[in-house]
Amino acid sequence: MAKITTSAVKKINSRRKGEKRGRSTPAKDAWRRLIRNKMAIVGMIIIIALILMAIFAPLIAPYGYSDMDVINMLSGPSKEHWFGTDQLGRDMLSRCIYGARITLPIAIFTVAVACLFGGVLGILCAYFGGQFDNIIMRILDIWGSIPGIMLSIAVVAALGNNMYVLVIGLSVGAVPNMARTFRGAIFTVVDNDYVEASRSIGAGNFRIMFKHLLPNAVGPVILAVVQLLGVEVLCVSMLSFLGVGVQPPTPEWGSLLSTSKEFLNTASYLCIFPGIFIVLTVLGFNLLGDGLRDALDPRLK
Amino acid sequence: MALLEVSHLKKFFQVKTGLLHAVDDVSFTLEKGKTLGIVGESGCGKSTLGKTIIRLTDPTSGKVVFDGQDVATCSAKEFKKIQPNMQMIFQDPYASLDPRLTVMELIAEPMKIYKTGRKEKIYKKVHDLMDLVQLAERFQNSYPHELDGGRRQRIGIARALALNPQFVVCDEPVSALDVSIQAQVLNLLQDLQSELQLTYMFITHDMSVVKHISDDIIVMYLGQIVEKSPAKELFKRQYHPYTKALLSAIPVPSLHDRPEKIILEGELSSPINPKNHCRFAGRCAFCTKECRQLPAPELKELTPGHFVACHRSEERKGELNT
Amino acid sequence: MEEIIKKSAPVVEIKDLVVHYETYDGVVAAVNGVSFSIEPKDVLGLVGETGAGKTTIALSVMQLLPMPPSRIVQGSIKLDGEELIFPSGAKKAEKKAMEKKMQEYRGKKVSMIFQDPMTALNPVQPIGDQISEVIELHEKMSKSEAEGRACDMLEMVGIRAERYKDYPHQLSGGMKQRVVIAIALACSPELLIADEPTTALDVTIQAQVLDMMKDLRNRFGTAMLLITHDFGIVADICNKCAVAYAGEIVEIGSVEDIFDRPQHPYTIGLFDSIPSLTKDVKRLTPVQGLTVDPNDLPQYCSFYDRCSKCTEECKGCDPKLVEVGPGHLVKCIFAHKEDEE
Repeated sequence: MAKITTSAVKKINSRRKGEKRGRSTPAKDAWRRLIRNKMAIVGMIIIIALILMAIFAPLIAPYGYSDMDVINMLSGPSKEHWFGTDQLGRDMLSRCIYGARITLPIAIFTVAVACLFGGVLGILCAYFGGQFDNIIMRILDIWGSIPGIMLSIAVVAALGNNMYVLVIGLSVGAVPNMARTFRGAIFTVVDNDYVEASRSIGAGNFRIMFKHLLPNAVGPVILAVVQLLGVEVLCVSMLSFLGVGVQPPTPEWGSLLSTSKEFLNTASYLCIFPGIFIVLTVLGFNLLGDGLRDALDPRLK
Repeated sequence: MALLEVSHLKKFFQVKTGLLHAVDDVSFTLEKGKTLGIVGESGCGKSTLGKTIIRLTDPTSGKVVFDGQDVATCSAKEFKKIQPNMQMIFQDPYASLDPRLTVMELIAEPMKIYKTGRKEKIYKKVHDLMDLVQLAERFQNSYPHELDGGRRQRIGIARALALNPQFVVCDEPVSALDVSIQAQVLNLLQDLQSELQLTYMFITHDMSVVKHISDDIIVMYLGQIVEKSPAKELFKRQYHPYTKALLSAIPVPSLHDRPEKIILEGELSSPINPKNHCRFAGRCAFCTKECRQLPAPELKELTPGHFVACHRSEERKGELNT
Repeated sequence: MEEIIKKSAPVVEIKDLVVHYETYDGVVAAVNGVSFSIEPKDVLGLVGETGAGKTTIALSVMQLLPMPPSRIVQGSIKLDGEELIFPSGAKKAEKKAMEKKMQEYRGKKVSMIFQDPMTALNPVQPIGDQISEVIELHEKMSKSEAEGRACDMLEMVGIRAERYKDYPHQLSGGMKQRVVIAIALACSPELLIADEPTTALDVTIQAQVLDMMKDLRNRFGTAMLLITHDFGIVADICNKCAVAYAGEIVEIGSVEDIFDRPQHPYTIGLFDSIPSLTKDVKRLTPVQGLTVDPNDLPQYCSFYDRCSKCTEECKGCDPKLVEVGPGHLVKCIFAHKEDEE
């Protein structure tokens, strides 16, 4: 192994005997580094738990989200109602659990749409450069200077107050940043020789952009996507808090906060629990995002 | 008939401070099966010349006649038909391979793009190519970063040969490799040339490598050809002062028979908006007042087959021929 | 037999140096028992390919290795007779004191120039100031005196003193490397370590810089450790040569020993694989195989897999350096004394 056996050499040898040395690809190396990061694992567990909670809500939730326990209206946390009940006797725990079914899909679809449009724009800008890049970037600058929330409110006001429109509205706010992220990521790889080599063997622009450039630039992109998920969860909550998009009785965490704010002094638990869920979700995405950034950092290779 | 005939090829780039003359009026012919060595230092335009000939970048003016057809001015669609015949091996064996693709995918890609056959046929061809470049079959699912420089360069060579080209531009293919591996790859390139009847344009800054592998050599300086001659002849007699200095500057790995070193004064002049006189004038030991006033010298045949671009070559012929 | 008049202490003396890089994925045995010394006024060419450990050796002398992940497992490096390496039981205070001393030595006793001149200079500081900075750090001089000395250094490396206030981006590659050399020699160090100083330069510029380095060496009397992969440069400027492979010195001696009577198969193989400007060769004779993996070194001769002269006997042990002539050592069981031909 080495000419001189040190304690470090002995440690590696004994570890290697137990490990099955798999193939090493850049993705596998990054994954290995990620799971060594305890904070990233915490983040992953939180996200997975929330997603499972959303999927299996009918099985987990003790009550339906609009079931009213008229006797126990506005009662604090108890054995029957772990998170207490609201002013109409609805169980808070069940409403929070079902809330994940609203918030998470909206956030995920928003990010997907923003990636699609922003991503394509960003890749085209970085690849073709020149005047095309200049013009699109200036348009995106103007677009991005309007606060995302205002844009979303404007879209919803124009097109109607339902969840699909909410997704459109939120993604409109997120596109400029996504475009810039993709553009920056592609810039880091567009000068590589293998781009020229691909051209010399006859590859067309589309093939180069999506088969060669994008997979190699995916590091900073994944990071931005995960962070955006956290941001969008907050945005969804913010909008429903303002009464835009999701309407009661749909139990979205933000709208739960909205309807509970008048009881902040008397029944504060009504605000605390949905708030905790929002915080946990954003925290989970952020921890995962931090871990990803470290795992994908090429300097650590 | 020559396989490749380049006439008055020019490639200029518009930069902030002016017009960069990367390749400035280059002409030569290349016979089938031969190797033309292009030698020069950084900034002389040799890489740009290679890329312009295979149209990785469009020329500013001039003709590149390959197998009877002018590829410099033909449409992109027409060029697509000729492209498989003109391929390139790149300098950096790591940067020129997509790190996300396996060896199999990298070598198969040109064939997939040109749809040369069904999947099985392509994979068989990949195995044949790996055999040809002496790359063991067990590496077919490896990634470039798992292999060393010599093996990566073999992947690049196999990829360049995938479409059965007649003409291959080798852009400094061994410069990034260790000395002991360089020899392996050079031998391989020579073997492939005789086996597949390839025609090479071999670009390098290393005079000893170019001497070993070329039939004819072109010496470039700031985008222009300063000397052109058969390889063996060039190392016996150099007519251009730059060629002489270039040759003498190479550190000789021997303690005996060490030639006198000609140390050039000054630095390269700028290739942006160059003045119309000899570009080597400022550094030349033999330059006169006229050299700085007359327009840039043309390439003239001084002795049979040996061309030089120097105003004083005729006058110094006697002294140069000793 | 040469008369030993007066043996002065070697400028640097390395004995049995072993350096490992310890990472999660493996231990890279970068240097495996290297010993050599450099006398005053010597120019030692350290030749080897990538992975031979040359840069690690250089950084060890400068005590600039990042620790972790690197670790000096054993060995001694004496700079001007003073030991630089602490045994592993050393106290923190001792280590701190050593580091402080090294800061004084770097630039004054031993200097290093790196391969890439493009990134070696501070882009936002004028070149003259970068030279005077090292002078002010080590010599007791006023600012204007230091600047005067910096101008002298610039002239010495062939740059007009009026360019004192120029910034690195205004200079070409060759000129940048000259400034780097000026910084390194500004305080007349006893040892200059040059790690592939001309590899990134064009051949004609390389000739200029090598010429200048020879001239400066004669003027200052500095000893040099020149790391390169090019035997031509060694023939030009060095008087001693060491050939490195897989973290070990496989052959060392005067340049005449190495060029005229090499004995190690790797040294011979390297010479054979270089295309020659003078001879006409149809095919080159490369060294077969690939560089050994420093993550996985054998307990016997590291060169075994690539050697054309190896036998079963070679697998039995790891050969030691054997003296085959005055100052000429070879690490091979088939090494024979020079007068036994």
